[in-house]
Amino acid sequence: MYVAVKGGEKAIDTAHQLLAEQRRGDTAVAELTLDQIKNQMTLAVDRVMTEGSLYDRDLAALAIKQARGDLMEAIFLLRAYRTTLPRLATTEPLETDALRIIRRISATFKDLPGGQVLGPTFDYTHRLLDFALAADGEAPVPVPADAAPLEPCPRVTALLNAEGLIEPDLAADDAEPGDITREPPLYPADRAVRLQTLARADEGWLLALGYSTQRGYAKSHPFAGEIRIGSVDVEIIPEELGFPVCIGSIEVAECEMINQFKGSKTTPPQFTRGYGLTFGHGERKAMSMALVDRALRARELGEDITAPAQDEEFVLSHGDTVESSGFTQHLKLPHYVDFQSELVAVRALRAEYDARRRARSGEQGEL
Amino acid sequence: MTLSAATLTPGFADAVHDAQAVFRCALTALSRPGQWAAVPHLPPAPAPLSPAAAAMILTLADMDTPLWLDPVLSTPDVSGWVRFHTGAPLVSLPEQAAFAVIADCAALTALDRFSLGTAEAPDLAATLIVQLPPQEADADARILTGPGINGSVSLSVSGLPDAFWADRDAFAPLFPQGVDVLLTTPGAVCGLPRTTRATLSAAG
Amino acid sequence: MSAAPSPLTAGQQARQRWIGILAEIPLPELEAAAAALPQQPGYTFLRAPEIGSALIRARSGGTGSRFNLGEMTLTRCAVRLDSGLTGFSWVAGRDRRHAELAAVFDALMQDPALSDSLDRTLITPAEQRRDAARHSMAAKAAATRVDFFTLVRGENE
Repeated sequence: MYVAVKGGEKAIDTAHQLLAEQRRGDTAVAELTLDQIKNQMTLAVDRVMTEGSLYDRDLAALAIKQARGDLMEAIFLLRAYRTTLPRLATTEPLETDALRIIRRISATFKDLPGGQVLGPTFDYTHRLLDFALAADGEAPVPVPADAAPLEPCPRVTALLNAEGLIEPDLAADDAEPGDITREPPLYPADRAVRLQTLARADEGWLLALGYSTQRGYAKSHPFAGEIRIGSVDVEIIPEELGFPVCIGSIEVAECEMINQFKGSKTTPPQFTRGYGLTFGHGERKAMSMALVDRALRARELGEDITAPAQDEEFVLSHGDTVESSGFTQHLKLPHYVDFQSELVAVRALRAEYDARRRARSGEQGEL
Repeated sequence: MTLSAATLTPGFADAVHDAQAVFRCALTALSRPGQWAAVPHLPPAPAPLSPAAAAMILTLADMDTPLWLDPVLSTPDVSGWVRFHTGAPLVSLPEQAAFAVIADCAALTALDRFSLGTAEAPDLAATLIVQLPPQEADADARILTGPGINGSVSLSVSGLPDAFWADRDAFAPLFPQGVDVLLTTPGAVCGLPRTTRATLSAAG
Repeated sequence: MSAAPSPLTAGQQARQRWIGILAEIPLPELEAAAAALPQQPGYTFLRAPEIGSALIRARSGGTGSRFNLGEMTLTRCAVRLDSGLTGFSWVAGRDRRHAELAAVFDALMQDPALSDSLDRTLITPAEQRRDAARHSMAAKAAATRVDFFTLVRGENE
C-alpha cells in the first residue's frame, strides 16, 4: 500500500519542465512534426493505435511525440484520451473479405486464387543497416502503378472448407459481443471477450506466448494460413437514416492461423483456426494474436490445458500494458508507511533470531 | 426507427459546455436536497417533454444508459429527440432503466418497478426525472432531513401521489439501495436522493 | 439488432453514395466547393459538430461471431437549412469543420435544383480521385505479386 504525500509541487513542475526540455533535445536540430511521425513512423503509429485501442493516426503521432518515442507511454496517453470520448456509434462488422489488399500471403498454398502479394514487407530485406538512409536521402524510386489489378482474393480457409477438413467459423449467434471497456472480464471468458482483450494486448507479451506454443508449450502445429493487409471501409447504420453509410476507411492486418488437430473426445481430426486482427500493418502482432487465440481455445476443443498460453486468466490478465506498467511502476510511489512497518517487523524477527542463536551457542558451550 | 427529420429540434446550443453547467446544477440539486436550482440551459424540447427534464436527459443520458419514457412521453417526437441527441437505448420496462422520465405524476406509484440497485452495486439504481404538473399554491409541505440538509428543510410539492412518498419511506431500510429523484418544473430542478427522509409537516 | 436489410430505394442508394464520399473528401476541397456555391446557404445546427468514438466490430475468422476490435474517432453533425432540408454527417476523425460541411452538402444534395451540379462539380470528381488513388495503390501491390517455385527435395536423385 502507498500513501498520499503532500508537497513537492515546485519540484514536480520543474521536473515536467525538464522533461519538456529533454523531449525537445538539441534546439539546433529541427523539431519533429506530427506529419513526419504520421507519415514516416507508420508502424509505431499502428502499434500505438492498436494497443491504445483507438484508430486515429494524428492522435497516435501526437502521443508518440509527447512520450519521447516510448510506445507504452504513448499507448497510455491514447487510452486515457479514449476514455474522454462519448461513444456515438457501433460499426457494422468489418468486411475483411472486401479488404483493398496491399499484402496477402499464404504459407499453406503456393498457388492461390488472387496470388501471393508481397506488399511492403521487411521479409526479404537482408537486415543490413542502410547507410543511404543516414545521408539526407533522395525520395525512393516510386513503384510504377501500371500492373494489372489483383483478382479477387478468396479466403484460404474457404478453400480448405470445400474439403470439409477445417472447422467452419460461422456467425454462430446474434448475441451482442461483450465489451471489456464497459464490463470487467469474468473467467472463463468467451471468444469475443478474449479477442478484444488480445487485440489491445502488448505485442511483446503475445509474441512470447505465441512463440512458446511453437516451442511445445501447447502443441498447436500452426501454419500461417493467410495474412492480409489492406484498407477497409467502415460503415455504421445511423438511426436517422436506417441504412448503412461509410464513415471512412481504416487499414488493418489480419492473420488466420491453421492448426493441425488430431481430434479429441468431442471433436474429429481436422484443421482448427486461430484469428488475429490489428489496426494498421501490425502483421507480427496479428500472427501472435492468432497463435494465442488458438491456444486459448483449448477448453472449447477438449484439449488438456498444460501450458501457460492455454491459461486464459493468466494470458488475458497480464497482457495489458496500461495495467502491467501501471502496477509495476506504482512501486515507485511512496511506500514509506508500509516500509516502516516492515522494518519494525524485520528488526523484531532479527532480534529474536539473534537471541535464539546466542542461546543455542550458550547451550553448546555447556556441552 | 427512422427519425422524422422535419420535426426534430436542436439540443443544447453548446453541447459540451451547456451539459457541464447543467451537470453542475444536477449535482447541486442532489447534494442540497429539497432546494430548487434554476437549470442554466434549457433546450427547445419537443412537447410534452419539459425543458428542464430535457436538459437533464441531454446531460445525463448516453449510449450506455437505458432510458424509460412513461406512456405520456412515449411519443415519436420525444423518443426520436432523445435517441437523436443522446443515443440512449429506449427500454419498454421500467426495471431496465438507468433513467426514467415521468410526466404522468399521478401514476408515479409502485416505485419498486424501478431498479433499486443491489447491495453490492447500489449505483445500478434508477434515477427518476419527474416533470411536476403546474404547482398549486397550497401544496402539502414536507419536512426533509438527511445528508446535505442542515437540520431540516421544508419542501412543498403538489401532484405527487401519497404512494410515491410511502414507497420512498419503505426503501429506507434497504439503503444503500433505493431510487434517486430529480423533480423538475419547466425551468428548475430539485433533488430527492435516496438518503433524504420526508415527513408530512404537521403545520401543513 | 437490425433485421434482414430490405433493398435500398434508388434515392437511398444515391444518398448512401454521396454521404460516403463526403466523409472522405479532403477538407480543402469541401471548403472550395462551399465557397463556389452560387448562394451561401443559411442553416442551423440540429446537432452541433460533436467528436466521439465508434466501437469497431469485426468477426472472428472474418466470417464468424462478432467481437469488438477497438474504437475510432468519429465526428458527427446535423444541420437544417433555412429551406427546411436536413443534412447529416458522420466523418472518421476529429475535424468539426469537415463534419459541418459534409452535413451541409448532404442537405444541399437533396435539393433538386442543386444536386446535379454538385454531383458534377464535387461528388463525382472526388469519387474519381478516390478511386484513382485506390487503383494506383492496388496496382503497386499487384506489382509485388510473386510466384513461388517449390523445389523438389530429391536428395537421392
